[in-house]
Amino acid sequence: MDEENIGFYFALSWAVIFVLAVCMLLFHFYYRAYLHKREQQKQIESFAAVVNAEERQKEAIANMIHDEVIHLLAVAAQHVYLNKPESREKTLSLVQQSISSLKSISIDLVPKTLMMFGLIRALAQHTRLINTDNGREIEFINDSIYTTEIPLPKSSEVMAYRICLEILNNLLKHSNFTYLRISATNTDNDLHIDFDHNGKGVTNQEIADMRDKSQGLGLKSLQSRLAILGATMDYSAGAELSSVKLTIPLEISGR
Amino acid sequence: MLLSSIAHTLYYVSAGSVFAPLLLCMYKYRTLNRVLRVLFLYLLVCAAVEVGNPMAAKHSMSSYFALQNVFTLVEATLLLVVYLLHATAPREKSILRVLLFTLLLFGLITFATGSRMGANDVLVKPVLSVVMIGLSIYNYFIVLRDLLRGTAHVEAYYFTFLNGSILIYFSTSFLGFVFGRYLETCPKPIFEMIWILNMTANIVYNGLMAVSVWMKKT
Repeated sequence: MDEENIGFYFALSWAVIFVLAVCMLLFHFYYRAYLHKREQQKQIESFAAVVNAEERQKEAIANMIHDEVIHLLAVAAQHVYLNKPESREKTLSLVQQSISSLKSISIDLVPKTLMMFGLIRALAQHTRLINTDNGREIEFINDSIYTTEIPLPKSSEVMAYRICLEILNNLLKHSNFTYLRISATNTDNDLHIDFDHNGKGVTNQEIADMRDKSQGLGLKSLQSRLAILGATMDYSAGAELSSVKLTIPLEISGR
Repeated sequence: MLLSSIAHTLYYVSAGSVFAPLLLCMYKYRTLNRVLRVLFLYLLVCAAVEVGNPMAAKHSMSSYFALQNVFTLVEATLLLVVYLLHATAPREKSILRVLLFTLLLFGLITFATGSRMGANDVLVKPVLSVVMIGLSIYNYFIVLRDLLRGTAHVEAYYFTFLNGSILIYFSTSFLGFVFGRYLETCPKPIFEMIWILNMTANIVYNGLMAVSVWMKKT
């Protein structure tokens, strides 16, 4: 090859690099458009998840009222209508049963412990309830400086509580653990709630894949709640212990 | 004259541009994942070499070449580790491990035998360039496949900038070796034009790495 040809090939090589750079630029535009579309899709899915969760909640409330309260009140009304002296006690008992059913429904909707004593106590109480329900050992340890007052608005606390319940439900359903330790710790700006268990764990990547592929709403509504709260979740799977680490940003005044 | 001054200026801009991603890494250190932490280490080495180059050249040419050769080996190791950490498929990881081991062994043998450590490297750098170009194109292929299937990960977006920067940098680097002899004999204005292109590619390389670090979200 003479020098002129080498110069030509050299220029040609640079032209190839230039074309490569242009292709890269186009590729980035394509990727960006894809991400934008995906983001929109995720927003729609999150919105649908929230709407569906609300609808399911309404349906559950309607079912509970229908199954547990309405028929009790209907029978009580019949007794009142008959107005017999011997049915007074029955009527009273039916009304008391209705009150207790309504109480349990209201606890189910928003736990009183959460409203009165905060997230940590509500989680401790919920843990005790699950412990009595099945043979699994669930331990709750509070190493944070908070017991009742957490620097979070009540609505965020309720959301954090729902997230913890969802994590617990998922672990109960899918991980087959026999031991679970829920521990609450805190740093200056965050509250950490760790769920360490000896069951089957998952990684962040696996969760992301499940969320993308799954038609179910559990993981999606969990993601929406995390986004609203600005919280993060970190999954890790180990041979002996696997964990789900929830980090909730606190609202410290003056920050 | 104009070309000379542009080339001269670009040389300093190019040397300084390595500090852009480096400073950004320091600023966003908490958001860096393992891939970007290795990149941070690589950038620290690059910055040290940029500072050490003139000193080594002033001392002797063999010191300069020795520094360049050691840098080539460190560069190869760190960039391959970057790809290794980014890879998800076990087969990909195994191939990268073999590549890393082979390249390091090849580099060590090349430099260690016949006291070539202080000589101008004519083998390892082009081989490294070819490997990196191959990896970069492969990575683009994988991402494009995932994009078409609709399974591309949002979290991996930052890596495409890094991948692009590696493709551009090593392509120009490879050209430098292929046309090395031509560059030694070509007229000065042409050499300066090529030098300008080379320095621009270097600035783009560092710029894209900075974008990659910036794009990494928590």
